[in-house]
Amino acid sequence: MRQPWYRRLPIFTACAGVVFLSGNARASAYISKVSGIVQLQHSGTDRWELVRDVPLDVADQDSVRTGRGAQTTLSFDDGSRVELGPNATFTLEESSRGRSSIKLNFGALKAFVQRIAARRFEVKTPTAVCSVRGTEFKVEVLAGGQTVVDLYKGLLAVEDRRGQQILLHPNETIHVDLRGLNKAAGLPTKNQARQTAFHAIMQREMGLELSKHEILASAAREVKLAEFQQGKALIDVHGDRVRLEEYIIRPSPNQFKLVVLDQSKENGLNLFSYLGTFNQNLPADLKQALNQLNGTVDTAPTWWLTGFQTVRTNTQDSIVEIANGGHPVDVNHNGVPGDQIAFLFNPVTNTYMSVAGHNVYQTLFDNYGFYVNSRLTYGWATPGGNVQSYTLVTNASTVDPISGAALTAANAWIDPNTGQLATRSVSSTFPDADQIHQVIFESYSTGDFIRWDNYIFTNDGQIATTANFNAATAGTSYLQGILKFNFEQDITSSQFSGRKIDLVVEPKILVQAGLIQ
Amino acid sequence: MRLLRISVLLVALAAAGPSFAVEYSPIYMLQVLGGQSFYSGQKGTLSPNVNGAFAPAMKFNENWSLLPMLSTNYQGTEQVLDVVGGQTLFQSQWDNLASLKGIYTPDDSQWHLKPSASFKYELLQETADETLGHGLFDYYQGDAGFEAEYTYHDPFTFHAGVDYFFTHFPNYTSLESQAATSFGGQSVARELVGDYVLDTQNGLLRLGVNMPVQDRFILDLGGQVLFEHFPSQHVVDPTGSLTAPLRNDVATTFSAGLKMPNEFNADLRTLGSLDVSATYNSSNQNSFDATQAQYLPYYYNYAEVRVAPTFKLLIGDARRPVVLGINTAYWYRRYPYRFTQDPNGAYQSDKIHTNNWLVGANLNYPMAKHFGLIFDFSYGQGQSNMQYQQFFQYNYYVANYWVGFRYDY
Repeated sequence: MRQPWYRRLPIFTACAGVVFLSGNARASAYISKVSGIVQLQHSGTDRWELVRDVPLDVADQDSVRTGRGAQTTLSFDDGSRVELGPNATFTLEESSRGRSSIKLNFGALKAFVQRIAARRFEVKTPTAVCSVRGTEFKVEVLAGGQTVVDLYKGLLAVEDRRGQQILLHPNETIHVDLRGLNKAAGLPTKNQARQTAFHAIMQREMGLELSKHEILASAAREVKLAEFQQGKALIDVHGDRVRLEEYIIRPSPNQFKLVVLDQSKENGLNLFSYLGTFNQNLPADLKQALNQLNGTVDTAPTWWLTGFQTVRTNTQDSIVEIANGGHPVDVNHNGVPGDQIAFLFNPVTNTYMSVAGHNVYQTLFDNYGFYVNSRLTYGWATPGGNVQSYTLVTNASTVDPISGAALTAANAWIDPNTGQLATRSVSSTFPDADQIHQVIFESYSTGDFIRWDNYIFTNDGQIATTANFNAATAGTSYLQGILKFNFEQDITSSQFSGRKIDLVVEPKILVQAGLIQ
Repeated sequence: MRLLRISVLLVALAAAGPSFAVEYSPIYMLQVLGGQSFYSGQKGTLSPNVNGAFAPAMKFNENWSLLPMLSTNYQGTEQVLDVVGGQTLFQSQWDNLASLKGIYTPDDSQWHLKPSASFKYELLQETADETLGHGLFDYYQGDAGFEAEYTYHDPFTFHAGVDYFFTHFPNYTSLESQAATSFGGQSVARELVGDYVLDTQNGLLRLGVNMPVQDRFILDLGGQVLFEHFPSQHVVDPTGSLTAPLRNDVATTFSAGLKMPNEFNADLRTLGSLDVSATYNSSNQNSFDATQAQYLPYYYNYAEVRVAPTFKLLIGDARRPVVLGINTAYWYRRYPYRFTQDPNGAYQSDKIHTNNWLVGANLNYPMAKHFGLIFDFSYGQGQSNMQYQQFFQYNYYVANYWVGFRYDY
């Protein structure tokens, strides 16, 4: 194909720049093409007019701007043209045969300039002036005025604001900023440029992929968060994981069973359960009945326990309590001195209230048995029933108070010296100064023992200090303090072969049921 | 594992050279940090955080590209956001991700279609007796997705995506389900009890668009809907019993972000941004507090709003600037069906809400091409009207610092 005597010169600027087309006589310029919203402002006016029909003449000092997604073309009578991109504004400062200038205020343009010997073509930016001598190049003005000039063919003189010049050769690029010219560098090859672009695209895709996985991970975190909020994952006094689940089963209409399961790596799965049997069917809102579990003040309860059973087990060893013959007794007016109650736990507020002098109805049980690995160790019975005070019960000695079976070494801890149920003595100590670590030691006349280590610990696994309890280790202050902490009970026994039952129980139910006193 | 094998095969094919006419562009990222965390009086040990990613991107032709990616992240120091509400500083976390993403661009089209698949596992050692690989909350996630992106005005795009993924916690089964078989003869489990109660099957829909605003700012708008189905978790009724329906959650999020770049001169630029989002999670699951005999309907419902302004100062050469950043975030969450409790655990009439905020400062100092030093400090605080903190810390503060380097290519 025959080469034209002139060469088209594309110019692109991104932000702001000035294009000069030099000459002596006036050369007409006109808008030859519009796409989208394009407006023209005549020199000396402030009004922008929508460009509807083309061609439309543009005079010196007229300005043109384009809207979002719009484009327009400014043509000159010598065949040159300037294409203005979206969101751009330029002013035609001068257009003559020897010299024309376009000031780009904002946006981007490409210029296709006919190569005419008498014409000098310049591109000015806030930081550079590019003098064209039959070249093909690209100019990009970044925010802040930094200019990037890429030269593809021919030679190009680039001058900074201080008058320093450099002559660019083909395939060279230079950055010009307010400090002046930087060092010219080689342009990447087309292949390199393509690879760089591909690399950038893939880096973006990689970022998007990782962002998506952050959404997926946050869904898993949310599931875990709820487990912590519900108290199903704890850290015990040893810094180890303890899992905890508490739920209720209703075996029959007048029964409820609270089940507490805890699990740790060291102690495996442990169970505490409390089965309560009431005098009548339980309401749908179980709270109504449970709030009377601890006793009522001034009026007799509607619901009371006729029996209960607790189980503590590590799947191999077990401690079981069974009581029956439950009935409400006004313990403050039962005629038995010494067992009056001055403070009663209020399960609604989880605090102790003063009840001295009031009628206080608590459930007393006629019969009670305490079993270790299915063998009775302690219990009582009330001949005739309707016990009015535990000071009046008769400790079991030869007969199981629950089953009525005769006691033998197979079903009870029998003292070989008496042939009767072993006698026991109980002590309570706090062996670690400054720590709420209670040891209850039950020693039996058989030589057997049961040891209860009760730990009160904070939610980060530290054992509570006496300062946390205002030095109280008994009474309502102590019991009140327990409610604010976690409660761990390690049970060992001479019958457990070195094993232990390790229970983590929310203490309220133990306090409410009188299992912690 | 299969995904990993395919990825390796594709990398091998790509490395085989020009006979496959594959353009190959590896992407690397490595970040090594050392730091320490402080959490409401606790002090974590000095430990490393290492984050690395490798993606041998491949371009088969003008239509098809492929992005296999392997990513690993080891955290010995818990981040500020990780400990929010947690009970302790965890010991270590290690997650690994393998993903494969195809990018198809039809001829003369502005559409980009992106099928993807991935597999991830996260190992979490939180307590003294847990080890990596045997943590209670270790989980696996598998994901298959498809995204369509339309470049309506380069570089601005609109995108829509859909994903199916599952999450499996292999070490977490409910104690109740274990108890059902552990205590022979004892009726200690409720009917319908499930085992892997935290496992989920999920669908994720995402929409997003970014656009210029007043020719100076960039606005990102997004929305997502996350459907979570718990195949082993039955719904709790007001008596505390389990019922036949299974738990389903729907979390809807709307977000907007505004980026505000500014250049004062060749050596000084700033980038301000403001991100806001609102989320509502709706669940059919209830809760029953057994010890308090308190029924809590729609226990998992919550609404959350989040505001996160950030500011960056970029100094020096635009290609390798020194970056000084300040980031802040505030988020408010309300549980519309959860009652507050007093310090003794007694339920009150108010509903639980939490206020969290954090502030951080970081410095990225370039040492060489692609390589920079990182200094980071964060402080966060949480407050709530929930006073019962026997199990979960609603009121806390946390801080951490990191120092290290980052390499990007």
